[in-house]
Amino acid sequence: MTELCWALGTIDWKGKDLLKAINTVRSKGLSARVSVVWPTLDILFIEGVVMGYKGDLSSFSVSHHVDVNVFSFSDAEALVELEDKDYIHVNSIESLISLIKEITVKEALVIGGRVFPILHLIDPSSINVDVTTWRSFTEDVDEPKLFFYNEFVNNEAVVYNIVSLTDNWTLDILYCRGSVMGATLYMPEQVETVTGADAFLYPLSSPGKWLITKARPFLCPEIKVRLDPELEEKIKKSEEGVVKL
Amino acid sequence: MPSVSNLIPLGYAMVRGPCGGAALRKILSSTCYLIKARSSKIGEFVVCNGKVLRGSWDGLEGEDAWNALINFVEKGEEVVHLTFYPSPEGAELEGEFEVMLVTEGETSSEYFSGVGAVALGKQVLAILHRLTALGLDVEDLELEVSGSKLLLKVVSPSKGKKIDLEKIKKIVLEYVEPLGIKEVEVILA
Repeated sequence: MTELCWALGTIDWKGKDLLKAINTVRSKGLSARVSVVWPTLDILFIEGVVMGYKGDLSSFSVSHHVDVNVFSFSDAEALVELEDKDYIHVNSIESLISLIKEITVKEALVIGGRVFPILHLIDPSSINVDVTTWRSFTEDVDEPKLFFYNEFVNNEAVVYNIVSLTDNWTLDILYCRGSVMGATLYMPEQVETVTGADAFLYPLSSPGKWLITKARPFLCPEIKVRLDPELEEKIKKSEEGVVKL
Repeated sequence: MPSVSNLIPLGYAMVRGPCGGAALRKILSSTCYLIKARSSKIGEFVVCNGKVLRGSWDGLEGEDAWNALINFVEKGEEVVHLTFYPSPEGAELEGEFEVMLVTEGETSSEYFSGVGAVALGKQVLAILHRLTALGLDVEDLELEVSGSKLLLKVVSPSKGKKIDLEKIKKIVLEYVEPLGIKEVEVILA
């Protein structure tokens, strides 16, 4: 006898972007199964909290090109699906992410000939930091591009919380070994936040007095980051700044 | 038994074996549903708030029927198809208790209890506003934490005026104490 505990759920979201699907489920606090058609991967969330996964994590390496469905569960369905012993339990989205080996990116920040790939892997504000070693300082940033370049070239693993005292925006960044793992911009009087490469667009053209807080993240996933060949082509032809497909 | 044909199902699941029995027990203890169960046998149940309000399965009624269903599922000889409908009795009961799907151990993971850089940035911003409200003209500010010590350097043209450093220390400590800071040093430049 093989045990079977499987719930159907109701289709809530359909798309091509696994990370977007995950972020949708987390931000809505859904009980749901995020299902990648191929390579097959199911991730179970209860009220927005990841419970486990089964299948092939290599789906993450092509996370912008997979067919992904989100099936939301009623309470009874969630209780059935939770009993499915095939799920490998994970404690947090961070521990799931730390299992990912490779990701292909479609966005980057190009400054001074250096390419900093930008991922939509995680909301930087959700990353725990080491509260025993951190710094905060004001700086008159005349050239934002140069600021980011110097920061990224000279640091390994940092979570940034940058507040423009001049223009009132807030930019959160998780930076790990050459790549931006996640970035979120909050603008005054705007409900929606801006994520990924787009989060850099406004700050790059907004010099002024910035209050910069830098802390050491407890998570900086060791993910092999590959540039999408199309992105590489575009970078060759593009000016500096944000480049995306 | 009320007719369910005019109700929209809230969900569908397939169960076989001990996992299915465990799921049914949890459904009974935490939610309100009308459940239709189908395999070679057919049954209907209304469960709510830990009670089997009505039930029929294999010639049995009420709680006996429910226990027989669980036994049947756990034996695992057949797949049992479960369809969940809103409980007719549950409508007025549902508001009385919270559905607890996530156990405490799962929600209180580090992810929720830890401190993010956003929280640190907010505290610093609050300190900056408080110092400004004190009448201190803050031109630049630098704050460094090492262990349980915090060093704050304030560049201010107000330097030379009589400024109560102890008061500044107290304000800073107010904001950073919850972060584990025990000692604050302030330098005006």
